[in-house]
Amino acid sequence: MSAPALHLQALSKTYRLPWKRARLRALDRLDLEVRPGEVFGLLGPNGSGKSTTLKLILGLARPDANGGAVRVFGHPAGSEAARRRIGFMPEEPRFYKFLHGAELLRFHGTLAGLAGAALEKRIAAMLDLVDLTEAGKDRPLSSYSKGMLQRIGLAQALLHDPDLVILDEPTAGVDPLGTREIRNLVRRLKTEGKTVLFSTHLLTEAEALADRVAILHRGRKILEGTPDALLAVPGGTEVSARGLSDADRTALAAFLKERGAEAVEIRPARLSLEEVFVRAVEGKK
Amino acid sequence: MNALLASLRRIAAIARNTFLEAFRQKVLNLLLLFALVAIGSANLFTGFTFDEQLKFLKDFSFGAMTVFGTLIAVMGTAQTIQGEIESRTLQTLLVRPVGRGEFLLGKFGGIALVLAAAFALMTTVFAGVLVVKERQLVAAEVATVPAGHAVDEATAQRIASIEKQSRDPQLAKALLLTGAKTLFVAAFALLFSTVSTSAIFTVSTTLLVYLVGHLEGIAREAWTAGGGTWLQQAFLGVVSVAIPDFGSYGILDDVLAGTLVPWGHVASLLGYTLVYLLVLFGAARLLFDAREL
Repeated sequence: MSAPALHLQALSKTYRLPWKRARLRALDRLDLEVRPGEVFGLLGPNGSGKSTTLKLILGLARPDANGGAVRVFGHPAGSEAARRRIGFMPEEPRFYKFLHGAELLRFHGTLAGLAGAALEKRIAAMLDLVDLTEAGKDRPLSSYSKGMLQRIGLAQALLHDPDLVILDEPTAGVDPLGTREIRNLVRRLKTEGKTVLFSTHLLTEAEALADRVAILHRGRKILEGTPDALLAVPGGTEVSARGLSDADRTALAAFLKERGAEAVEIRPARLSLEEVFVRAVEGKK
Repeated sequence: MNALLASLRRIAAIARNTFLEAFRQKVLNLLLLFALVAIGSANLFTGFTFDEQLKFLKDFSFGAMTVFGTLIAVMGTAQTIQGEIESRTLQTLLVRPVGRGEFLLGKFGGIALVLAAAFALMTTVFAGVLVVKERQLVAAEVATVPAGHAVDEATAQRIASIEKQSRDPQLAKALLLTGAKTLFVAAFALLFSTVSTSAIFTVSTTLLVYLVGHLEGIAREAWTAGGGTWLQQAFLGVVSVAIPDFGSYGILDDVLAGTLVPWGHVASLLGYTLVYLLVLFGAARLLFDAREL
Protein backbone atom coordinates (compact mmCIF):
# COMPACT_ATOMS: atom_id res chain seq x y z
CA MET A 1 0.00 0.00 0.00
CA SER A 2 1.42 3.40 -0.97
CA ALA A 3 2.22 6.03 1.68
CA PRO A 4 -0.40 8.72 2.20
CA ALA A 5 0.31 11.96 0.39
CA LEU A 6 0.15 13.72 3.72
CA HIS A 7 0.17 12.38 7.20
CA LEU A 8 -0.14 14.77 10.12
CA GLN A 9 0.05 13.19 13.52
CA ALA A 10 -0.83 15.04 16.73
CA LEU A 11 0.62 18.19 15.21
CA SER A 12 0.98 21.09 17.62
CA LYS A 13 2.47 24.52 17.24
CA THR A 14 2.82 27.28 19.80
CA TYR A 15 4.10 30.77 19.04
CA ARG A 16 5.76 32.89 21.65
CA LEU A 17 4.49 36.44 21.40
CA PRO A 18 7.33 38.93 21.11
CA TRP A 19 8.21 40.88 24.27
CA LYS A 20 5.55 39.03 26.21
CA ARG A 21 5.47 35.91 28.28
CA ALA A 22 2.21 34.87 26.65
CA ARG A 23 2.11 32.06 24.17
CA LEU A 24 -0.33 31.45 21.38
CA ARG A 25 -1.41 27.89 20.69
CA ALA A 26 -1.86 28.03 16.90
CA LEU A 27 -2.37 24.32 16.37
CA ASP A 28 -3.47 21.71 18.87
CA ARG A 29 -2.81 18.00 18.23
CA LEU A 30 -4.03 17.97 14.65
CA ASP A 31 -4.41 14.56 13.03
CA LEU A 32 -4.97 14.49 9.30
CA GLU A 33 -4.39 12.13 6.43
CA VAL A 34 -4.67 13.02 2.75
CA ARG A 35 -4.66 10.18 0.27
CA PRO A 36 -2.83 10.30 -3.08
CA GLY A 37 -5.03 11.72 -5.83
CA GLU A 38 -7.39 13.40 -3.39
CA VAL A 39 -8.48 17.06 -3.42
CA PHE A 40 -8.55 18.10 0.21
CA GLY A 41 -9.86 21.39 1.56
CA LEU A 42 -8.63 22.93 4.78
CA LEU A 43 -11.35 25.25 6.01
CA GLY A 44 -11.57 27.70 8.81
CA PRO A 45 -11.97 31.32 9.72
CA ASN A 46 -8.98 33.66 9.93
CA GLY A 47 -6.66 32.61 12.75
CA SER A 48 -7.92 29.03 12.81
CA GLY A 49 -4.50 27.52 12.09
CA LYS A 50 -4.72 26.91 8.32
CA SER A 51 -1.59 28.89 7.42
CA THR A 52 0.35 27.39 10.32
CA THR A 53 -0.61 23.91 9.13
CA LEU A 54 0.61 24.72 5.61
CA LYS A 55 3.88 26.17 6.95
CA LEU A 56 4.51 23.01 8.95
CA ILE A 57 3.80 20.83 5.90
CA LEU A 58 6.14 22.97 3.78
CA GLY A 59 8.91 22.88 6.39
CA LEU A 60 8.90 26.66 6.82
CA ALA A 61 8.10 26.24 10.50
CA ARG A 62 8.72 23.42 12.97
CA PRO A 63 6.27 21.72 15.31
CA ASP A 64 6.68 22.13 19.07
CA ALA A 65 9.04 19.77 20.84
CA ASN A 66 6.96 16.57 21.18
CA GLY A 67 4.46 18.40 18.99
CA GLY A 68 3.86 15.59 16.51
CA ALA A 69 5.13 15.11 12.99
CA VAL A 70 4.31 15.66 9.33
CA ARG A 71 5.21 13.24 6.57
CA VAL A 72 4.87 13.97 2.87
CA PHE A 73 4.67 10.74 0.82
CA GLY A 74 6.49 9.13 3.74
CA HIS A 75 9.26 11.76 3.92
CA PRO A 76 9.66 14.16 6.85
CA ALA A 77 8.27 17.62 6.09
CA GLY A 78 10.97 20.05 5.05
CA SER A 79 13.31 17.33 3.81
CA GLU A 80 14.63 17.71 0.27
CA ALA A 81 12.78 14.55 -0.80
CA ALA A 82 9.51 16.02 0.49
CA ARG A 83 10.09 19.42 -1.09
CA ARG A 84 10.81 17.88 -4.49
CA ARG A 85 7.29 16.45 -4.55
CA ILE A 86 5.50 19.63 -3.51
CA GLY A 87 4.33 22.57 -5.60
CA PHE A 88 3.19 25.59 -3.60
CA MET A 89 1.21 28.68 -4.46
CA PRO A 90 1.09 31.22 -1.61
CA GLU A 91 -1.86 33.44 -0.82
CA GLU A 92 -1.74 36.55 -3.01
CA PRO A 93 1.51 35.48 -4.67
CA ARG A 94 4.14 38.19 -4.96
CA PHE A 95 7.16 37.76 -7.16
CA TYR A 96 10.13 39.76 -8.45
CA LYS A 97 8.34 42.54 -10.29
CA PHE A 98 11.09 43.18 -12.82
CA LEU A 99 10.98 39.66 -14.27
CA HIS A 100 8.73 38.56 -17.13
CA GLY A 101 6.48 35.58 -16.57
CA ALA A 102 8.81 33.27 -18.52
CA GLU A 103 11.87 34.60 -16.65
CA LEU A 104 10.19 33.91 -13.32
CA LEU A 105 9.44 30.36 -14.39
CA ARG A 106 13.03 29.94 -15.64
CA PHE A 107 14.34 31.07 -12.26
CA HIS A 108 12.05 28.71 -10.34
CA GLY A 109 12.73 25.89 -12.79
CA THR A 110 16.46 26.22 -12.17
CA LEU A 111 15.87 26.07 -8.42
CA ALA A 112 13.74 22.97 -8.94
CA GLY A 113 16.59 21.27 -10.83
CA LEU A 114 15.26 21.67 -14.38
CA ALA A 115 17.54 22.87 -17.16
CA GLY A 116 17.99 23.26 -20.91
CA ALA A 117 15.37 22.20 -23.44
CA ALA A 118 13.31 20.33 -20.83
CA LEU A 119 12.94 23.51 -18.81
CA GLU A 120 12.02 25.63 -21.84
CA LYS A 121 9.41 23.06 -22.85
CA ARG A 122 7.87 23.10 -19.37
CA ILE A 123 7.85 26.91 -19.32
CA ALA A 124 5.96 27.04 -22.63
CA ALA A 125 3.52 24.37 -21.45
CA MET A 126 2.84 26.13 -18.13
CA LEU A 127 2.34 29.55 -19.75
CA ASP A 128 -0.08 27.93 -22.15
CA LEU A 129 -1.87 26.14 -19.31
CA VAL A 130 -2.55 29.39 -17.43
CA ASP A 131 -3.21 31.33 -20.63
CA LEU A 132 -0.23 33.67 -20.27
CA THR A 133 1.73 32.73 -23.37
CA GLU A 134 1.74 36.27 -24.77
CA ALA A 135 2.01 38.24 -21.53
CA GLY A 136 4.63 35.83 -20.23
CA LYS A 137 7.06 36.68 -23.01
CA ASP A 138 7.66 40.36 -22.63
CA ARG A 139 5.57 41.91 -19.88
CA PRO A 140 7.15 42.47 -16.46
CA LEU A 141 5.20 41.08 -13.54
CA SER A 142 4.72 44.62 -12.21
CA SER A 143 2.18 45.13 -15.01
CA TYR A 144 0.18 41.96 -14.24
CA SER A 145 -3.33 42.11 -12.77
CA LYS A 146 -4.13 40.24 -9.56
CA GLY A 147 -5.70 37.39 -11.52
CA MET A 148 -2.65 37.13 -13.79
CA LEU A 149 -0.35 37.02 -10.77
CA GLN A 150 -2.47 34.24 -9.34
CA ARG A 151 -2.15 32.35 -12.62
CA ILE A 152 1.61 32.78 -12.91
CA GLY A 153 1.78 31.69 -9.25
CA LEU A 154 -0.05 28.54 -10.19
CA ALA A 155 2.28 28.00 -13.15
CA GLN A 156 5.37 28.21 -10.92
CA ALA A 157 3.76 25.78 -8.47
CA LEU A 158 3.13 23.22 -11.24
CA LEU A 159 6.37 23.81 -13.15
CA HIS A 160 8.28 20.78 -11.89
CA ASP A 161 5.25 18.47 -12.18
CA PRO A 162 4.81 17.92 -8.43
CA ASP A 163 2.74 15.10 -6.96
CA LEU A 164 1.28 17.28 -4.22
CA VAL A 165 0.01 20.77 -5.03
CA ILE A 166 -0.60 23.07 -2.08
CA LEU A 167 -2.70 26.16 -2.70
CA ASP A 168 -3.08 28.78 0.02
CA GLU A 169 -6.40 30.60 -0.51
CA PRO A 170 -6.21 30.04 -4.29
CA THR A 171 -9.20 32.18 -5.19
CA ALA A 172 -8.78 34.99 -2.66
CA GLY A 173 -9.35 38.28 -4.44
CA VAL A 174 -9.93 36.64 -7.83
CA ASP A 175 -13.04 37.49 -9.88
CA PRO A 176 -15.62 34.77 -10.61
CA LEU A 177 -14.16 34.02 -14.06
CA GLY A 178 -10.68 33.61 -12.62
CA THR A 179 -12.14 31.52 -9.83
CA ARG A 180 -13.75 29.23 -12.35
CA GLU A 181 -10.48 28.85 -14.27
CA ILE A 182 -8.67 27.90 -11.09
CA ARG A 183 -11.37 25.42 -10.18
CA ASN A 184 -11.14 23.85 -13.63
CA LEU A 185 -7.39 23.62 -13.25
CA VAL A 186 -7.73 21.87 -9.90
CA ARG A 187 -10.19 19.41 -11.43
CA ARG A 188 -7.73 18.79 -14.25
CA LEU A 189 -4.97 18.15 -11.73
CA LYS A 190 -7.17 15.58 -10.08
CA THR A 191 -7.75 13.74 -13.35
CA GLU A 192 -3.96 13.67 -13.78
CA GLY A 193 -3.70 11.89 -10.44
CA LYS A 194 -2.24 14.81 -8.49
CA THR A 195 -3.02 15.38 -4.85
CA VAL A 196 -4.27 18.86 -4.08
CA LEU A 197 -4.45 20.47 -0.66
CA PHE A 198 -5.97 23.91 -0.49
CA SER A 199 -6.86 26.24 2.33
CA THR A 200 -9.80 28.57 2.18
CA HIS A 201 -12.25 30.45 4.33
CA LEU A 202 -14.75 30.43 1.45
CA LEU A 203 -17.07 27.52 2.08
CA THR A 204 -18.44 27.50 -1.48
CA GLU A 205 -14.90 26.95 -2.68
CA ALA A 206 -14.49 23.83 -0.61
CA GLU A 207 -17.91 22.57 -1.60
CA ALA A 208 -17.14 23.02 -5.29
CA LEU A 209 -13.71 21.42 -5.29
CA ALA A 210 -12.92 19.13 -2.41
CA ASP A 211 -13.30 15.37 -2.16
CA ARG A 212 -12.92 15.82 1.58
CA VAL A 213 -12.62 18.75 3.91
CA ALA A 214 -11.48 19.43 7.45
CA ILE A 215 -12.72 22.41 9.39
CA LEU A 216 -10.31 24.03 11.83
CA HIS A 217 -11.23 26.38 14.62
CA ARG A 218 -8.78 27.89 17.10
CA GLY A 219 -6.13 25.37 16.09
CA ARG A 220 -8.33 22.32 16.49
CA LYS A 221 -10.03 20.12 13.94
CA ILE A 222 -13.72 20.26 14.66
CA LEU A 223 -15.09 18.44 11.59
CA GLU A 224 -13.81 16.19 8.82
CA GLY A 225 -15.52 14.39 5.96
CA THR A 226 -16.79 14.62 2.41
CA PRO A 227 -18.84 17.73 1.52
CA ASP A 228 -21.81 15.49 0.71
CA ALA A 229 -21.72 13.90 4.14
CA LEU A 230 -21.19 17.17 5.94
CA LEU A 231 -23.83 19.10 3.98
CA ALA A 232 -26.53 16.42 3.98
CA VAL A 233 -29.65 17.36 5.92
CA PRO A 234 -30.73 14.22 7.81
CA GLY A 235 -34.07 13.04 6.46
CA GLY A 236 -34.20 15.93 3.99
CA THR A 237 -35.03 15.58 0.27
CA GLU A 238 -34.46 18.07 -2.51
CA VAL A 239 -36.60 17.94 -5.64
CA SER A 240 -35.70 19.81 -8.81
CA ALA A 241 -38.05 20.10 -11.78
CA ARG A 242 -38.87 22.20 -14.84
CA GLY A 243 -42.13 22.95 -16.55
CA LEU A 244 -44.40 23.01 -13.48
CA SER A 245 -47.23 25.55 -13.36
CA ASP A 246 -48.29 27.35 -10.18
CA ALA A 247 -51.19 24.91 -9.85
CA ASP A 248 -48.79 21.97 -10.18
CA ARG A 249 -46.61 23.44 -7.42
CA THR A 250 -49.59 23.86 -5.11
CA ALA A 251 -50.72 20.31 -5.83
CA LEU A 252 -47.20 18.99 -5.22
CA ALA A 253 -46.99 20.77 -1.87
CA ALA A 254 -50.37 19.36 -0.87
CA PHE A 255 -49.27 15.88 -1.91
CA LEU A 256 -46.04 16.11 0.13
CA LYS A 257 -47.90 17.32 3.21
CA GLU A 258 -50.41 14.53 2.81
CA ARG A 259 -47.47 12.09 2.85
CA GLY A 260 -46.30 13.52 6.16
CA ALA A 261 -43.54 15.81 4.89
CA GLU A 262 -42.61 18.71 7.16
CA ALA A 263 -41.17 22.14 6.32
CA VAL A 264 -42.11 21.80 2.65
CA GLU A 265 -40.73 24.63 0.57
CA ILE A 266 -41.50 24.95 -3.13
CA ARG A 267 -40.25 27.98 -5.01
CA PRO A 268 -39.05 28.94 -8.50
CA ALA A 269 -35.54 27.61 -9.24
CA ARG A 270 -32.71 30.18 -9.04
CA LEU A 271 -29.18 30.37 -10.35
CA SER A 272 -26.42 31.50 -8.08
CA LEU A 273 -25.22 35.06 -8.64
CA GLU A 274 -21.84 33.61 -9.61
CA GLU A 275 -23.44 31.57 -12.40
CA VAL A 276 -25.34 34.63 -13.65
CA PHE A 277 -22.12 36.69 -13.64
CA VAL A 278 -20.10 34.07 -15.50
CA ARG A 279 -22.82 33.55 -18.12
CA ALA A 280 -23.25 37.30 -18.66
CA VAL A 281 -19.55 38.03 -19.00
CA GLU A 282 -18.88 35.02 -21.19
CA GLY A 283 -21.85 35.99 -23.40
CA LYS A 284 -20.11 39.30 -24.11
CA LYS A 285 -16.88 37.67 -25.25
CA MET B 1 29.38 15.68 -8.29
CA ASN B 2 25.97 16.16 -9.90
CA ALA B 3 24.55 17.28 -6.56
CA LEU B 4 27.34 19.83 -6.22
CA LEU B 5 26.73 21.10 -9.74
CA ALA B 6 22.99 21.38 -9.10
CA SER B 7 23.70 23.25 -5.87
CA LEU B 8 26.04 25.67 -7.66
CA ARG B 9 23.38 26.23 -10.31
CA ARG B 10 20.82 27.17 -7.67
CA ILE B 11 23.27 29.50 -5.93
CA ALA B 12 24.15 31.13 -9.27
CA ALA B 13 20.46 31.61 -10.13
CA ILE B 14 19.79 33.33 -6.78
CA ALA B 15 22.95 35.46 -7.13
CA ARG B 16 21.98 36.56 -10.64
CA ASN B 17 18.49 37.45 -9.50
CA THR B 18 19.83 39.40 -6.53
CA PHE B 19 22.21 41.31 -8.79
CA LEU B 20 19.46 42.23 -11.28
CA GLU B 21 17.07 43.22 -8.53
CA ALA B 22 19.65 45.37 -6.71
CA PHE B 23 20.27 47.49 -9.78
CA ARG B 24 16.57 48.27 -9.90
CA GLN B 25 16.61 49.74 -6.43
CA LYS B 26 16.55 53.52 -6.56
CA VAL B 27 18.55 53.92 -3.34
CA LEU B 28 21.47 51.85 -4.57
CA ASN B 29 21.50 53.58 -7.94
CA LEU B 30 21.47 56.96 -6.24
CA LEU B 31 24.35 55.97 -3.96
CA LEU B 32 26.34 54.82 -6.95
CA LEU B 33 25.54 58.00 -8.83
CA PHE B 34 26.66 60.14 -5.87
CA ALA B 35 29.89 58.14 -5.67
CA LEU B 36 30.61 58.64 -9.37
CA VAL B 37 29.83 62.36 -9.19
CA ALA B 38 32.00 62.75 -6.08
CA ILE B 39 34.95 60.97 -7.68
CA GLY B 40 34.46 62.82 -10.95
CA SER B 41 34.38 66.17 -9.16
CA ALA B 42 37.66 65.49 -7.35
CA ASN B 43 39.40 66.88 -10.43
CA LEU B 44 37.90 70.31 -9.83
CA PHE B 45 40.04 71.05 -6.79
CA THR B 46 43.06 72.85 -8.20
CA GLY B 47 44.15 75.21 -5.47
CA PHE B 48 47.10 73.06 -4.40
CA THR B 49 50.56 72.17 -5.65
CA PHE B 50 50.66 69.26 -8.14
CA ASP B 51 51.79 66.95 -5.38
CA GLU B 52 48.91 67.96 -3.14
CA GLN B 53 46.42 67.83 -6.02
CA LEU B 54 47.22 64.20 -6.79
CA LYS B 55 47.21 63.24 -3.11
CA PHE B 56 43.90 64.99 -2.59
CA LEU B 57 42.38 63.34 -5.66
CA LYS B 58 43.40 59.87 -4.45
CA ASP B 59 42.42 60.53 -0.86
CA PHE B 60 39.04 61.99 -1.80
CA SER B 61 38.26 59.28 -4.36
CA PHE B 62 39.18 56.44 -2.01
CA GLY B 63 37.13 58.11 0.71
CA ALA B 64 34.13 58.23 -1.64
CA MET B 65 34.67 54.61 -2.69
CA THR B 66 34.85 53.49 0.95
CA VAL B 67 31.81 55.44 2.13
CA PHE B 68 29.56 54.66 -0.82
CA GLY B 69 30.86 51.09 -1.20
CA THR B 70 30.06 50.47 2.48
CA LEU B 71 26.60 52.02 2.19
CA ILE B 72 25.83 49.97 -0.92
CA ALA B 73 27.04 46.79 0.83
CA VAL B 74 25.03 47.41 4.00
CA MET B 75 21.83 48.71 2.45
CA GLY B 76 21.89 46.29 -0.46
CA THR B 77 22.31 43.26 1.78
CA ALA B 78 19.79 44.41 4.39
CA GLN B 79 17.19 45.20 1.75
CA THR B 80 17.60 42.06 -0.33
CA ILE B 81 17.09 39.63 2.58
CA GLN B 82 14.42 41.64 4.40
CA GLY B 83 12.62 42.31 1.12
CA GLU B 84 12.38 38.57 0.42
CA ILE B 85 10.99 37.91 3.90
CA GLU B 86 8.50 40.78 3.87
CA SER B 87 7.20 40.11 0.37
CA ARG B 88 7.08 36.38 1.16
CA THR B 89 8.95 35.56 -2.05
CA LEU B 90 11.30 33.68 0.27
CA GLN B 91 8.58 31.14 1.01
CA THR B 92 8.24 30.16 -2.64
CA LEU B 93 12.03 29.82 -2.84
CA LEU B 94 12.54 27.74 0.26
CA VAL B 95 9.78 25.26 -0.55
CA ARG B 96 11.93 24.33 -3.53
CA PRO B 97 14.87 22.00 -2.91
CA VAL B 98 16.96 25.04 -1.99
CA GLY B 99 18.97 24.85 1.22
CA ARG B 100 18.98 27.90 3.47
CA GLY B 101 22.76 27.96 3.19
CA GLU B 102 22.43 28.01 -0.60
CA PHE B 103 20.00 30.89 -0.35
CA LEU B 104 22.39 32.90 1.83
CA LEU B 105 25.35 32.11 -0.42
CA GLY B 106 23.34 33.15 -3.47
CA LYS B 107 22.32 36.40 -1.82
CA PHE B 108 25.89 37.12 -0.74
CA GLY B 109 27.15 36.22 -4.20
CA GLY B 110 24.64 38.65 -5.74
CA ILE B 111 25.74 41.46 -3.42
CA ALA B 112 29.39 40.64 -4.17
CA LEU B 113 28.56 41.04 -7.88
CA VAL B 114 26.85 44.36 -7.18
CA LEU B 115 29.91 45.55 -5.27
CA ALA B 116 32.22 44.31 -8.04
CA ALA B 117 30.19 46.23 -10.63
CA ALA B 118 30.05 49.34 -8.42
CA PHE B 119 33.81 49.23 -7.79
CA ALA B 120 34.50 48.62 -11.49
CA LEU B 121 32.51 51.75 -12.33
CA MET B 122 34.04 53.85 -9.54
CA THR B 123 37.56 52.66 -10.45
CA THR B 124 36.98 53.49 -14.11
CA VAL B 125 35.87 57.02 -13.24
CA PHE B 126 38.76 57.36 -10.76
CA ALA B 127 41.27 56.18 -13.37
CA GLY B 128 39.80 58.57 -15.92
CA VAL B 129 40.00 61.50 -13.51
CA LEU B 130 43.57 60.52 -12.62
CA VAL B 131 44.61 60.43 -16.29
CA VAL B 132 43.00 63.82 -16.93
CA LYS B 133 44.69 65.29 -13.86
CA GLU B 134 48.06 63.86 -14.89
CA ARG B 135 47.73 65.38 -18.35
CA GLN B 136 46.69 68.74 -16.92
CA LEU B 137 49.62 68.81 -14.51
CA VAL B 138 52.14 67.66 -17.13
CA ALA B 139 50.80 70.25 -19.58
CA ALA B 140 51.12 72.93 -16.88
CA GLU B 141 54.75 71.92 -16.26
CA VAL B 142 55.56 71.92 -19.98
CA ALA B 143 53.95 75.35 -20.30
CA THR B 144 56.53 76.75 -17.87
CA VAL B 145 59.29 75.95 -20.37
CA PRO B 146 59.88 78.91 -22.74
CA ALA B 147 59.03 78.19 -26.36
CA GLY B 148 61.91 76.74 -28.35
CA HIS B 149 63.73 75.59 -25.22
CA ALA B 150 64.27 72.01 -24.19
CA VAL B 151 62.64 70.78 -20.95
CA ASP B 152 65.12 71.43 -18.18
CA GLU B 153 66.11 68.78 -15.67
CA ALA B 154 64.03 70.15 -12.79
CA THR B 155 60.87 70.22 -14.90
CA ALA B 156 61.60 66.75 -16.25
CA GLN B 157 61.94 65.53 -12.67
CA ARG B 158 58.63 67.10 -11.69
CA ILE B 159 56.94 65.52 -14.73
CA ALA B 160 58.44 62.14 -13.83
CA SER B 161 57.20 62.61 -10.26
CA ILE B 162 53.67 63.42 -11.47
CA GLU B 163 53.64 60.31 -13.68
CA LYS B 164 55.03 58.15 -10.89
CA GLN B 165 52.40 59.34 -8.43
CA SER B 166 49.45 59.00 -10.78
CA ARG B 167 50.51 55.56 -11.99
CA ASP B 168 51.40 54.17 -8.58
CA PRO B 169 50.83 50.36 -8.67
CA GLN B 170 50.30 50.46 -4.93
CA LEU B 171 46.87 51.96 -5.61
CA ALA B 172 45.78 48.50 -6.75
CA LYS B 173 46.57 47.16 -3.26
CA ALA B 174 44.57 49.93 -1.59
CA LEU B 175 41.69 49.27 -3.97
CA LEU B 176 41.78 45.53 -3.30
CA LEU B 177 41.63 46.07 0.45
CA THR B 178 38.87 48.66 0.18
CA GLY B 179 36.82 46.13 -1.80
CA ALA B 180 37.59 43.38 0.72
CA LYS B 181 36.48 45.64 3.57
CA THR B 182 33.11 46.38 1.95
CA LEU B 183 32.60 42.65 1.35
CA PHE B 184 33.39 42.10 5.02
CA VAL B 185 30.75 44.66 5.99
CA ALA B 186 28.23 42.97 3.66
CA ALA B 187 28.88 39.67 5.48
CA PHE B 188 28.04 41.33 8.81
CA ALA B 189 24.84 42.72 7.29
CA LEU B 190 24.01 39.20 6.06
CA LEU B 191 24.53 37.82 9.57
CA PHE B 192 22.32 40.44 11.20
CA SER B 193 19.60 40.15 8.58
CA THR B 194 19.12 36.46 9.42
CA VAL B 195 17.71 37.44 12.83
CA SER B 196 16.47 40.93 12.11
CA THR B 197 12.84 41.83 11.54
CA SER B 198 13.58 45.12 9.78
CA ALA B 199 16.12 46.47 7.32
CA ILE B 200 16.73 49.49 9.57
CA PHE B 201 17.86 47.25 12.43
CA THR B 202 20.27 45.42 10.11
CA VAL B 203 21.68 48.67 8.71
CA SER B 204 22.14 50.31 12.11
CA THR B 205 23.75 47.29 13.81
CA THR B 206 26.08 46.73 10.88
CA LEU B 207 27.16 50.37 10.83
CA LEU B 208 27.74 50.17 14.59
CA VAL B 209 30.03 47.18 14.09
CA TYR B 210 31.75 49.09 11.29
CA LEU B 211 32.43 52.04 13.58
CA VAL B 212 33.57 49.87 16.49
CA GLY B 213 35.75 47.91 14.04
CA HIS B 214 37.69 51.09 13.31
CA LEU B 215 38.37 51.50 17.02
CA GLU B 216 39.25 47.85 17.52
CA GLY B 217 42.99 48.58 17.45
CA ILE B 218 42.65 50.98 20.39
CA ALA B 219 40.47 48.51 22.29
CA ARG B 220 42.99 45.71 21.72
CA GLU B 221 45.88 47.84 22.96
CA ALA B 222 43.96 48.79 26.09
CA TRP B 223 42.97 45.15 26.65
CA THR B 224 46.51 43.83 26.33
CA ALA B 225 47.85 46.64 28.52
CA GLY B 226 45.48 45.52 31.29
CA GLY B 227 44.12 47.74 34.05
CA GLY B 228 40.61 49.00 34.68
CA THR B 229 37.76 47.07 36.24
CA TRP B 230 36.97 43.48 35.29
CA LEU B 231 33.90 44.76 33.44
CA GLN B 232 36.00 47.12 31.33
CA GLN B 233 38.48 44.33 30.65
CA ALA B 234 35.68 41.96 29.67
CA PHE B 235 34.16 44.54 27.34
CA LEU B 236 37.51 45.30 25.72
CA GLY B 237 38.20 41.58 25.40
CA VAL B 238 34.90 40.95 23.63
CA VAL B 239 35.48 43.88 21.24
CA SER B 240 39.05 42.73 20.53
CA VAL B 241 38.08 39.11 19.86
CA ALA B 242 34.67 39.39 18.20
CA ILE B 243 34.98 42.58 16.16
CA PRO B 244 37.39 42.65 13.23
CA ASP B 245 40.05 45.31 12.94
CA PHE B 246 38.72 47.42 10.08
CA GLY B 247 41.38 50.03 10.72
CA SER B 248 44.10 47.74 9.39
CA TYR B 249 42.54 47.88 5.90
CA GLY B 250 43.35 51.57 5.55
CA ILE B 251 46.72 51.43 3.82
CA LEU B 252 46.06 54.52 1.70
CA ASP B 253 48.00 56.84 4.03
CA ASP B 254 51.08 54.62 3.56
CA VAL B 255 50.51 54.54 -0.19
CA LEU B 256 50.18 58.31 -0.35
CA ALA B 257 53.30 58.74 1.78
CA GLY B 258 55.17 56.52 -0.70
CA THR B 259 55.79 53.79 1.88
CA LEU B 260 55.94 50.37 0.29
CA VAL B 261 53.13 48.10 1.45
CA PRO B 262 54.33 44.53 0.88
CA TRP B 263 52.03 42.14 -1.02
CA GLY B 264 52.47 39.77 1.90
CA HIS B 265 50.65 42.24 4.14
CA VAL B 266 47.83 42.56 1.59
CA ALA B 267 47.60 38.77 1.24
CA SER B 268 47.48 38.28 5.01
CA LEU B 269 44.62 40.80 5.27
CA LEU B 270 42.76 39.06 2.44
CA GLY B 271 43.28 35.73 4.24
CA TYR B 272 42.02 37.31 7.48
CA THR B 273 38.93 38.51 5.55
CA LEU B 274 38.32 35.07 4.09
CA VAL B 275 38.52 33.31 7.46
CA TYR B 276 36.22 35.88 9.03
CA LEU B 277 33.77 35.57 6.12
CA LEU B 278 33.60 31.81 6.63
CA VAL B 279 32.95 32.26 10.36
CA LEU B 280 30.28 34.91 9.70
CA PHE B 281 28.65 32.78 7.03
CA GLY B 282 28.62 29.72 9.32
CA ALA B 283 26.97 31.76 12.07
CA ALA B 284 24.48 33.27 9.62
CA ARG B 285 23.52 29.84 8.39
CA LEU B 286 22.99 28.47 11.91
CA LEU B 287 20.79 31.42 12.82
CA PHE B 288 18.83 31.30 9.56
CA ASP B 289 18.29 27.53 9.88
CA ALA B 290 16.67 28.16 13.25
CA ARG B 291 14.44 30.95 11.95
CA GLU B 292 10.81 30.19 11.22
CA LEU B 293 9.23 31.95 8.28
